[in-house]
Amino acid sequence: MTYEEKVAAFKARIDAGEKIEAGEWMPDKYRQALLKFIEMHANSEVMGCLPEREWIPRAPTLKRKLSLTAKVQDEAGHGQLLYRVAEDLGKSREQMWDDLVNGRTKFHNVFHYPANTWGDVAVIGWLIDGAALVTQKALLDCSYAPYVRVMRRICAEESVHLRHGEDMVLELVTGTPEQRDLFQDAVNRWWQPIMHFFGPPSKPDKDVLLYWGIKTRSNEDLRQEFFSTYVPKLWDIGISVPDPELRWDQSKGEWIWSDPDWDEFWQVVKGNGPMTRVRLDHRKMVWDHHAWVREVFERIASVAV
Amino acid sequence: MTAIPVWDVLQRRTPDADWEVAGGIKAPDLEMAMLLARETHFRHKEAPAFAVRLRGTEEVHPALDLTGIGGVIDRAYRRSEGYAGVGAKLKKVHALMKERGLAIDRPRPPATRGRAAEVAHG
Repeated sequence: MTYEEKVAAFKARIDAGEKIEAGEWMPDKYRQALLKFIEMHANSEVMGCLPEREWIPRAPTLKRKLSLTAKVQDEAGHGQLLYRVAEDLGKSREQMWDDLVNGRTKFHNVFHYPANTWGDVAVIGWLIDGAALVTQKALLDCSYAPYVRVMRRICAEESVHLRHGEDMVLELVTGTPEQRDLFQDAVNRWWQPIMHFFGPPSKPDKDVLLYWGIKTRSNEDLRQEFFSTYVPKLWDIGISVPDPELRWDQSKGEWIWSDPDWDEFWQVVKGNGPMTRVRLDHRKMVWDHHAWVREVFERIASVAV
Repeated sequence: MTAIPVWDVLQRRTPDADWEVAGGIKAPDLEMAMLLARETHFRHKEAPAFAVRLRGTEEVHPALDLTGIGGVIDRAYRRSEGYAGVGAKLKKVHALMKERGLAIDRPRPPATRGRAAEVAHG
């Protein structure tokens, strides 16, 4: 069988809905696209710990402190699970971490922004986790089985985070006028990054991730689902969305929305976000500080098993 | 330097079910593999039993002490049952905001569209 024939047979398996297991033969383009995608997902999980971690000491009650701590632990755990899946695709965890802290690989745009107030924590917990869950749920149909197994677990945990986020939001909007304003202000500041989170509308026939069944739904499809799930809820609790064009078009059966500033999106994902440097420096400091733990593990491995 | 070995993490969905792969971890020895598997894969009471298997080998090492899966003290805030009633609370808040004239009433899709929050837990 020629390489091209093997690739065609592989693609036919994916198109037929088969799942690929770790260690199976796969075309280089599939492996590269999958690795890049999962690596970025893993990076985003570990970088996503940081905005909320900053609020653990300042959480308003013990209950919130415990919940937030557990959530941050979950996100770090997601990173661990995802790096493990990515490692099987041929890149070591050490290399992935080195690339992340030195700015050679990317992480999600929303984690490049500051979390200035407790209202921001509520937005992250409800709307950003909600946006993440919309995209992650779609990955349950991914063509790579080890990723799907991890995503099942991640989606379950994210749904808990979402409940926690929603609970925080409901507390704020039924509180004092200042608390409502705090949340409204956070929504106003985070709306554009959330729109960026789904990426610019892409052409499905040109999307390599859709081609290989790594993703199964387009950016726009996912954004529309996010609107349908969260915009009515925001309106119900009296919170407006800072997009004057946003409306449900009954005749088209879709949401109409206005383009955010895509230049800012590209700047942020290239590593020029308002908090990019600070957060990467923090991760690098921790990585360097804990080098001795990795060395101990490696020495144990050389005499064990 | 020696590479840290990979261990498959196995679980039973029910006490009588067969082992199935739940994921993987890297650990230098069996003791650490057990500890990491418990903490990374089962701290939310995901399964009634778990085991690890050094990748590339056949021997399954079941966890003998299953007490404490999901924590030995009340940590409901880690699980969905810790947030029971949030959906009902949203409806109550909507009614309250309507009463106060704050709710925003605009056209929206039928309620069945887009249920991201309803992903089953587990």
